[in-house]
This record gives sequence, C-alpha cells and structure tokens, in this order.
Amino acid sequence: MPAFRPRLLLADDHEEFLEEVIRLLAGEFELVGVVRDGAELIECAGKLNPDAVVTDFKMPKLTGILAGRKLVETRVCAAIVLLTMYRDPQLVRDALDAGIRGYVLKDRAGEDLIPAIRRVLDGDTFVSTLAS
Amino acid sequence: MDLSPSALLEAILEGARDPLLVLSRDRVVLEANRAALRWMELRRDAVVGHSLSELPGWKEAGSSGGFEIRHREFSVQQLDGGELLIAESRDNTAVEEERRYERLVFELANMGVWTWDLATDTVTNRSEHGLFGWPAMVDASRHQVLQRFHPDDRGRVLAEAEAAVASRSGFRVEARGYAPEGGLKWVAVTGAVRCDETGYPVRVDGVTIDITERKLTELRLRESEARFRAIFENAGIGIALVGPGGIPVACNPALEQLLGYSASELQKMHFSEFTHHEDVKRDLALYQDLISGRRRRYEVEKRYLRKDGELMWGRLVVSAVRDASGQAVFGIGMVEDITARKRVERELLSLSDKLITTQEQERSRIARELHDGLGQQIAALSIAVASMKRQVPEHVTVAREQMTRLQQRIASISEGVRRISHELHPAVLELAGIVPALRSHCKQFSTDNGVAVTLDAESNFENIPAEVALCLYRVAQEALQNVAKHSGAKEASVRLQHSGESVVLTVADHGRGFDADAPASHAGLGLVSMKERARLLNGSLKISSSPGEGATLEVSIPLTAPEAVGQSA
Repeated sequence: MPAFRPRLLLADDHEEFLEEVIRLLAGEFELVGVVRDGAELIECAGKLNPDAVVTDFKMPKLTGILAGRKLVETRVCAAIVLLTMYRDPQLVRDALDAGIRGYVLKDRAGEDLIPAIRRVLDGDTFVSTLAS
Repeated sequence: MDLSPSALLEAILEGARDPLLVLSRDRVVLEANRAALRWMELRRDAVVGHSLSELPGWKEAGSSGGFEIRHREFSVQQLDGGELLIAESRDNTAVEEERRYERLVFELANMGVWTWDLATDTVTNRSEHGLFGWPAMVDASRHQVLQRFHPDDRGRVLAEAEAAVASRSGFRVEARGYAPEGGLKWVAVTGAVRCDETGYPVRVDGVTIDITERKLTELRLRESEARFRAIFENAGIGIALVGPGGIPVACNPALEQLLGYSASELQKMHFSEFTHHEDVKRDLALYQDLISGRRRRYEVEKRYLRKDGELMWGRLVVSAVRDASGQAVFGIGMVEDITARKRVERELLSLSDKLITTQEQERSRIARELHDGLGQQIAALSIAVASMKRQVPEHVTVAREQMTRLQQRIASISEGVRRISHELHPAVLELAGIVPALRSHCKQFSTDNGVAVTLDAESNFENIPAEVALCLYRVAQEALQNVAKHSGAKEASVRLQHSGESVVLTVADHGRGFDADAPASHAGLGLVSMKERARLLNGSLKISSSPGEGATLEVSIPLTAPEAVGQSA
C-alpha cells in the first residue's frame, strides 16, 4: 500500500460503467466523490479540491471538455483525464486545447486509466491509442 | 358661198372623214367620197354608176337595208323624200374597243347586265357572265330565266323581284344555281324598277354578280368559327381571349367554373386580379414579352385566386394572335387545373422528406444506444476483466493469459459495436463537423476497401447546418461505395468547397466509367436516395461519366434559407 493515495473525483452518468471504474481505481486512489454531470463536477471540485479528476465527455448540462477547461482555467485542478467512448482525433485535439492532458478510451480503460491518471498527476500527457 | 343642195352635198361628202356613198333608190352608186374610194381601193369610175352588188366585197347586212363592204358596215338613210339614199360608214374601232372593255369588266367582275321588259315579260341578259356561266339570253321568258336558279331559290328570287315592281323600288337577293358544267354557284341579283312618265313600271334593269367565291369563304369561315365556338364552349380546360392590356375579352364556361367568376365579371378584371400576388410579377413580365413580340408563347405554373378565396394551381399556356403587321391583337390563355397534381407532388415530397428524416432519426437513436449504452456496458465488462486480472498473481500465467484473451474478445466486440454505430450515424459529424467526419470516413474507407481516397476541403465549414452536413456526408458515403463497387478504380478524390452561396461536394474517380446519358436503369436505390436528399435541401446532384473516362459526382446544396418547396414552379 503506498503511503500517499491521490484524491480522485469521478464524473460519469453511466452507472454500470461507473461501478467497474470505481472497483478498478479503489485500490490505487482515494475516491473523494462521484458526480453525474458537468455542472456538478465544477461545483464539487471547488469544494473537494481533488488531486485529479476523471470525467466522461458526454454528460448532461456540460461536456467533460468544457467542464475540464473551466477547472484548468480556474486553477481548481490541473490533472484531468477525459474518459470517453469517442476516438476521433478532433476530440483529442479539443481536449488537449482545453488543457486536459489525459485522454482514455473507455474500452481501453482497464489497461490505460491508472497509468493515465499517474502520468497526468506527474504533469505529463497520456492519450490512448486510437486505432482499433 | 354657194349654198345649193348639190354644193352642200359635195361639201359634206368631201368633208366627212368616214366613207360615204350616195345611192339611188335602186342601189346604184351616184356618188362616193374619197374615203369610200380609199376603202374600196377603186377608182371613182369603177364605183359611180355601178350597182352596189357589183362592188367587190359587198354583202347584205342587218335588217334595215344596211350592208357591208370589205367587212365594213354601212348604214342607209333615206334623203330627199326617199329618192336618194345615203350610205355612211362609221369607224367602229372605238366602239369595238369600248365593247371589248365592257366585256372584260363584266368578265373580271363576274357580272352580267339584264333587263326585264315588264310589258312583254321577257328578260334579256347580255352576257354569259353573272348568271352561273350560261350563254346570254335575248327576250327569254321569266320561266326560262327562273329555270337557271336552284329549285329552292326560284320562289325567293321571283318574290323579291315582284315585290320590287309592286313597290316601284329595287331589290337584292342572293341565290344559288348550277353552272353548265354542273357546279353549284352563287349570284347576287340586284334590280332597279324603271317607270314611265306616268309612274307606271315598264322595266327592271339589273346586274347579276357571281359571289360563289365569297360565299364559300363565308361558309368556311362560319364552319371554322363554329368549330372554334364548339371547342371554346365545351373544352375541359379554361380558355380566355385576353386583350393586350391584360383584360379578358372572352372567357369560356370551363374558365368560369375554374375561377368561380362569371365571364362578364372576368371581362371587367385584369388577370393580375385573379392571380396569387406572388405569381403576378412573373406572369405580367411574360405577358409583356408575348405582346411585344419578344416571345411567341409561354407556359407557366401559377396560382389563381378563385372568387371564393380558394387557391387553384393552374398550368397556363399563352400564345398571341397577331394581325398582318405582327401587332398582337389578343393573347389566348389556356388554363388546366393542376391543384390535385400539386397536392400529390407536395405530399410525395413531404413523404419522402419524412421518410429520410425518420430514417435518420431512427438510425441516430440506435447508433446512440449502441455507442453510449451497449458500448459502455462492454467497456465496463472490459474494465471488470482488467480489474480481475490485476488481482491474479503474475505467476498464475494460465489464468492471466485467458483473461488477456477475454480482453481481446471484448475489444473486438466493442470495435464491432462502434463500427455499426458509426455507420448508422456518425457521431463525429455533430462533435467535430463535416470536414473531420469526412476525413475520418475517407481514412476508414481507404483501409476497408483498398481504394486510396484523398480529401481536399477548405477549412471553413463549421457553420453549415446539421442537415446539410448530414446530406453531404451521406452522399460522400454512397458515392465512395459506388466507386468501390463499380469503378474498379484504386484511387478516388473527395472535394468540398464553397461555390457562391452553395456548398459543393465532388467525388471523382478514374475508373471504367459508364454512359451517364443512358436511361437510368442501372441507377440503384443509392443514386435515387442521393438525389432525393439533395432535392429536399433544394440542392442538385449531377453525374458526368462516359465509358473509360471515370466518373464525377457533384452535389450542390444552397446555404441560403430555402424557399417553401413547390412554390417556385
């Protein structure tokens, strides 16, 4: 057990998927909260000050990219991973432009998510291989 | 001056320009003037003292003692109590000329002159012209004359003539008769009653003029007029004769029924008053062109405003009637009610619109469900396997390998779902826009089909409407599919550009091509659906190709706000 467990805030509205992600990350990180939409993400992040945020792209009210951009711009959190079903290069560019340094495809999350969060926490960038 | 009778006679004889002979009662020549000798080409002594009958070229002529010498007529008058005869000959050339001229006039005018002597009840008709071409009649009975006329007209001719005599006036009657060679002819008979000094009618003078030509023309005209009437009155399509100013002069019953106005109401209106205001300007301009001669006819689909306020769609064909100088006298407009057709067209259009829209909505819904629902469940499964794998110690290799295989299976299922979803509805279109969507499709297509597709797109397409983007994307998809299926080409190009107010997508290949002008029997549902999609957005789609020359498909969609479909016809 590492001495330091980064505090993590999760944002996704798909329950079944969320359940598995929580199970995957529980051993490695301290999960401080789970939110279901973009607006809630911004609000909770402000209150909870997580070390890292993992957010879905497509969510009610605000997309993960717009919420992420806001968190980066307001310096609430700089370590953000976008966890999404979309593998379009344009979306990756949009995410990187918004200051989101982690881009993980949901169907590669089992392998990619933990390394991505760690890289982003270290100030690096991580993008899942887009090619199928 | 010697004024004795013999001197006088001599003066007359020598002064006369025409031949003169003085004869004794028993026709011996007593004297002949110079003109007479010149005419007979005889010396004086070969004439004077000789009997008339001894003169060369002499012959009896006429009833009152006249004669001819060398075809020249001499008339005889008694002088000096009957003892002395004087034979004079006038130069008849002028008279002959006059007669010839008269005959010519009668012939050309098809005219004859007649006189009806009431005392003897006989008719003299001096010319073969005028009365159906029969020979001239002298002192013919009224029965003989009437025989010339058609049995049905005899009574009328006689009645008119007798009425004129009774009223001492004149008459004019048109009647038929048969020509000697058999054809039916028409004459106009005109007569004027002449009376003696006591006012008693003595004769009727008149002319007959052949009017067959005019009658036939009249008949033909009446027939064609009757035919036109019949068409005009009974036609199923509305017909109006419109003055150059645009006001109807005549309207048929069908038009009355179409517009709900009576003909007399329509004749007080300008056609713009029963035309839908949006169609007035165009129709007026076309009508001006027609009247001014810039066009011979025009054809237009326009909306009429019925009296009851309802709209009627009409197909109008207008042509002009011009006078000899080319000036338009009337416009003839023919209107066919196409309201039902227009309604069906509109319904078809909206039906196919609905069909495409519904299909797209349904595809999009299923795509979303697959992508966001099933896709995430599969992703969750994949994570579950990954979590499980993390808990299996590294040395339990068999279990770990099985889990890796399981992960690969899941990844492949995930990929399959993504692909189906993408084909159903490209989410990237809404996420990133038309150009990234096309780029990603071209790339995928190249990989899947072994056809190298290049995309050439200007960058600024972010603001085109979603339905235009979807249409362009679908057309590109379908067109590339055709390239892969039919062209045999290994390369294709997709180009997206602005052209005026439109976006133009071009898909071209250098494959085997086909005859683009051939009947569209080979045009599959794909092409039909591409055209339909373009039409729904007021766009157009064209294909140019010929065998061996490759093929180019071009779709152009206007970006301006589309007009209501079907109203611009």
